[in-house]
Amino acid sequence: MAIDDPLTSSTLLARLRDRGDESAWRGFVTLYGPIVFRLARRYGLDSESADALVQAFCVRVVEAAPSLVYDRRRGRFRDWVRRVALNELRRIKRGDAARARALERYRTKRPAVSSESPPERLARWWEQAESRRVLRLALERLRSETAPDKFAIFYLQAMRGLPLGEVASFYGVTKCNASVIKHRLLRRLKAKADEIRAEWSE
Amino acid sequence: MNANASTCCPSDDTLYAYVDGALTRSERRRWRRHIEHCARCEAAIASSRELSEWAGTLKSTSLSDPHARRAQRWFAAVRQKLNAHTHEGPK
Repeated sequence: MAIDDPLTSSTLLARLRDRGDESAWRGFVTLYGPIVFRLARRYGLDSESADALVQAFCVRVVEAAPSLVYDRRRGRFRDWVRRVALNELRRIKRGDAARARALERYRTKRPAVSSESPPERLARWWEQAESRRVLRLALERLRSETAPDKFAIFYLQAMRGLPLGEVASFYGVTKCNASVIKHRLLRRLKAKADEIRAEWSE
Repeated sequence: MNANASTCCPSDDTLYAYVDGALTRSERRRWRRHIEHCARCEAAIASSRELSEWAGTLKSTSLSDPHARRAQRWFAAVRQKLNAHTHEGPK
């Protein structure tokens, strides 16, 4: 282990270096797998190829993780992860002409982020995808820890935009209570999202 | 709805209800003057509003994760590949 290792043993990121730490790996795949899958689909790969890309990406990260500490001065972990995903994507695209044709068809139908896009544009897309993914996972954690009625009161107002009065009357609570439930759970959701980000931060 | 015990400010819950217009008319009247002149309450309200706006950006988030099953499959496949690599040994 490097002397200047700045990672704390409590972060999932630090635990990634241990191949045997399945829960850290499961967490990694759950967070980043869907982002890479979406990236692949966005670049025109079919579902099967996108699956293959996710797997190749994960294997590459697992293999590189033990030495990650030596490279981290080159950038943040999430930037490195994005680079790994893009390299794997380019490798797949280079090696498969049929997929390249599919990509062409896709481009003509729907111009989107292409492999030639400025890196900032791609970085922004990745950032947003990661943000959405973190929020979804935070929402799942919150849901699993919250009484169903309370969660519904929160969810319908905060995330479905239903009026406070309507939700309160449906669940038989005062408007005041429905409002408090929404705000308290919103704060917990935000805390959970921050917690997930912290798990994957240096 | 109560005041915060340590100060004369309303509790967080009161502020939440205030933000959503869920207080009774008399409660609202009671707190409005205070809130309008209290920097702490003003900041708390701004933070609640900010959080509500943030939640507004999540409106398209559905409760079921379309990738949950896939993620399990990916994890199993990656584990299998890594085990295979390990058993192959160094080349």
